[in-house]
Amino acid sequence: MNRIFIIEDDLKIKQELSVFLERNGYRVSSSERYSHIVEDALEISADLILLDINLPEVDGYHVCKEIRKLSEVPIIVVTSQNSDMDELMSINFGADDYITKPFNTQILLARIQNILKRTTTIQEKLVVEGVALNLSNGTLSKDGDNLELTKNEFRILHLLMSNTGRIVTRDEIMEHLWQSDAFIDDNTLTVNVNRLRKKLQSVGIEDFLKTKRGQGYII
Amino acid sequence: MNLKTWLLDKKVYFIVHLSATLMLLTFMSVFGMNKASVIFVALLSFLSHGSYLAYEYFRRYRFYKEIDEIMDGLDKKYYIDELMPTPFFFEGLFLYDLISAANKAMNDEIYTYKNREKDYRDYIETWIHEVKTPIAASHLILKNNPGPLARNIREEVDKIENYVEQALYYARGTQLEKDYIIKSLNLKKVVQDVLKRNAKLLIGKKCQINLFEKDVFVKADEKWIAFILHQLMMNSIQYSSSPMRLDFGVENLDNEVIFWMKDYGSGISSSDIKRVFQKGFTGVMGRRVRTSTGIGLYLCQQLCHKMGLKISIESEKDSYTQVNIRFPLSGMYR
Repeated sequence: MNRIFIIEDDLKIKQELSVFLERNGYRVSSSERYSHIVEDALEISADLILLDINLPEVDGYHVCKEIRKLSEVPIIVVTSQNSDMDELMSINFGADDYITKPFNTQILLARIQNILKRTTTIQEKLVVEGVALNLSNGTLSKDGDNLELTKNEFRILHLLMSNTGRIVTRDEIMEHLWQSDAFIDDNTLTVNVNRLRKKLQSVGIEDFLKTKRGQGYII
Repeated sequence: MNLKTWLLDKKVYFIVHLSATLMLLTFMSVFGMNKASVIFVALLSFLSHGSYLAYEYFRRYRFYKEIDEIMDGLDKKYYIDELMPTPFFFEGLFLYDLISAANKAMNDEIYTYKNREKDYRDYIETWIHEVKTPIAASHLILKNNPGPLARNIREEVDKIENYVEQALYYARGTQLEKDYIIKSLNLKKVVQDVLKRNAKLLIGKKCQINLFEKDVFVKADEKWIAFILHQLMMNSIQYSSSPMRLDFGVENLDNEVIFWMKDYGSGISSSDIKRVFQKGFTGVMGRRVRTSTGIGLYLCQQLCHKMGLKISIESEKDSYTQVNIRFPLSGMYR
């Protein structure tokens, strides 16, 4: 499980962000000792740091620079200043990405996933009921049978298999696909899911992807 | 100043002088002075007064003419007190000092307002950045506590967010200084980013997206373009019923790139279409849909104008609305 360190002085945002990220499968920690924030951030060896630029006692850019001197840990800068200058400063001081408040939570998640995908050794396989989704090459395998998946089919399965036992609504799936530039509509999703089901059946996987009428899908 | 006005201005002087001279001449004749000396005195008097008046007239004439010419040549007329020649006569000096004092007082006044406006704008910018933190917190709270109530409030928070953003761009778009950067940007990527931002609303309206395949590079400020597209998209969402459809297209011409975005919503009536970019204009539709403020499209046009782009809109009632933005490939539109 990936560890995220949050540097944010607004308590409410920190608290809610922690809950949000924990629900999405990350371990979250933070610190309030702003004068020692760099040590605290590095001590827990996080996989990613979310850094607010407006901090008490210290300057966020300075923190960014200090962390970068000692570690290559990815940093996403969060700020309410929506200007090119701030973006440039962040990148110059070694940040990996830049996001402005108020952020769209889906976009924040997508950015975090993108960066972690690049920097951490990713999980090789996602296995549910003997069906394995190979994350490295986007294929599916069961009992030695291999199945090629299209990008969208892979993303749909990935989302459903990461949320086993929970109904994932059609809107959620579409939002997930939109975040990776596949702007599909309702009909296309139906077509995609039907085709995916047929593919699964062709290798003998039945009743794996279940429809909850009027609600969504569940694995 | 011309001779006639000058003479009229001096009429009391003439009357007094003429009557005094006539009385003097009468007096001299009554006391039996010879004719020659009477005529001599009369001539002397008229000549001395006449030459003095002519001298005065031409001196002032030259002075006023110079001021007139300077005034005509001035772009900012209030600089006249700095540039006019210092008067050589008492009344002139008096008025000259008066104008200088008045101008100085006016400058102080303008300076006060300029400062006040700058203070206000700075405050608005700071305020906007401050209010973003509670908005961000609200989004997270709603996300962490899902349900019908959260969904309802989220819609309202989204509206607040949009109004706040409009205020920011209003403050930026109307100020004189430039704070935007024109550089090459990929239109397709900006459209994708704005689509992602509005994913929830668009998916909620079962939107079908038709986006061009190729990357298209134009020169503009990326944040401003994203803001403009967001405003246009919000309009399309508001005026379309589910299932809606959004088409995006580009046309590469010799000297410009035309980008267009088309929705198949309620459209704009021909009587309203000419006024949609006016500030505060909401039209028949706006009056029916209460949330219109008539500021979105006005801002779009202001920002486009500042970046040297052309924005236009075409529509047919109950059929479609298409917004075109034209990006010049070299230089600016004149």
